[in-house]
Amino acid sequence: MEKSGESEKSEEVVEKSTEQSEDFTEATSDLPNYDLLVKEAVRGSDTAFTLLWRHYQPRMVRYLTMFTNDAEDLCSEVWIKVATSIKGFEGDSKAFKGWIYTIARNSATDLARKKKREGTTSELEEGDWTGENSTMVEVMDLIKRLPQDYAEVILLRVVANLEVNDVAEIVGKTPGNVRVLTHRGLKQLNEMLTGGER
Amino acid sequence: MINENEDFTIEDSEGLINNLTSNSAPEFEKLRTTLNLLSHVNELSPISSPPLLPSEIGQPVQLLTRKSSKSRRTAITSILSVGLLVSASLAAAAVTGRGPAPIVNAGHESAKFVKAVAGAVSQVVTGNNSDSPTKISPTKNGGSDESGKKESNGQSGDSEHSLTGPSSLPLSAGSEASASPEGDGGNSDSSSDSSNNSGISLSITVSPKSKSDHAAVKGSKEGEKNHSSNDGSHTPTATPSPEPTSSPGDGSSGDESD
Repeated sequence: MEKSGESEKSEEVVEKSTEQSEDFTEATSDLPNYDLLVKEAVRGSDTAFTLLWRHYQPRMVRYLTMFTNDAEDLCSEVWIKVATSIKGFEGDSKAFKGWIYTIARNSATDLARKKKREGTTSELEEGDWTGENSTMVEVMDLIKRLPQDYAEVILLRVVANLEVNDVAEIVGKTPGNVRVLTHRGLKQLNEMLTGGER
Repeated sequence: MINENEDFTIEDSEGLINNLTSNSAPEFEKLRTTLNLLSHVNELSPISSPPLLPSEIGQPVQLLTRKSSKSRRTAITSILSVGLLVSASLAAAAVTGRGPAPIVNAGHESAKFVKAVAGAVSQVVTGNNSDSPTKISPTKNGGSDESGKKESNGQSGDSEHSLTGPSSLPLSAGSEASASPEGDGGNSDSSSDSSNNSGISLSITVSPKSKSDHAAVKGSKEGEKNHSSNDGSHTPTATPSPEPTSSPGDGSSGDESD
């Protein structure tokens, strides 16, 4: 009973978000105005929050697959944290992006620590990327074979589309370090792709 | 600038990252294609929705079902069940008058307390205060503690119908929850009353012109008589039960909004 009511509510929100997504688009392009979306989401708009979630969720899942096989579950936890603390958020869409990836990273770290404490392995199995096609699986397998530092900065920069400074803040390194890590990661990836893997 | 390799410089890698679509460096075509693939994500279906919406925050049931850990859910459920069981037993004992004496007594005391609170609230809401001092009727067995307490100095202030808690509660003069409706020197009386009876006393103001002064005093004495019969048997407290609150995350997200 409660569940059906809940799902009805969700459907309502989704319908509304589909209808109203045009209200959040910039006049010059079809892209949503993410600054406005963030502002509205902070003010409690479910529609804006849903649109933000729909935009960032797939990218975040891909980023989190680097840490765990249950990336979608972990991602849900991250979004629950985002929803519960978004009221106190201040900043634009760029800051919001950095913020949610920081939460994601911290959650992944917590999960890894928990698994380590419990003695369960957090090793990823090859080809166990959820919801990806075969080409993507191959790419992610390659990424997974990189050292974690390299893989993480590459994913944050390429998948999350974050700038060097934002990545540096998230991973707690200097921008110069991030550039070097990215470079080393890409170099190694290039060697893997061209058959020069060591 | 750090050059890791003569073939693939750090500028190349930055160029690739910043221009995944451009074709400026054909020697890294494979890498570019891979990064392009990596950056492309499948769109979510429009019927999907986030696990929790901002409007759902603060709805304890949903938080309980969605967010709480299993142990926390169990603890909350147990507390609620025990509370329900206790209140049901007390209500049953008060209504039927049967069962173990302490429970029956506690039931009666609780019923008295509820009646007193209801009376006070209704008086405050309706505003029928000084004109009808005897409106708060004593309980069936004459156990009304201060049903007719007299206002000695005729001072009432804001606390004409104050509901007092146990004497240990911090009391501030002049506040609506003040425990001393008796004006000067009335504090000691009031506190001794509180300690003698169930700890909850309902004070009403009797207007000076009222004829029921004597009756009020009489009622007060009767009340005192009755107190001796149930000394300290039960001390219901009026502490509000805290609502379950939701903790926003695990602290990992609180200070990251820079």
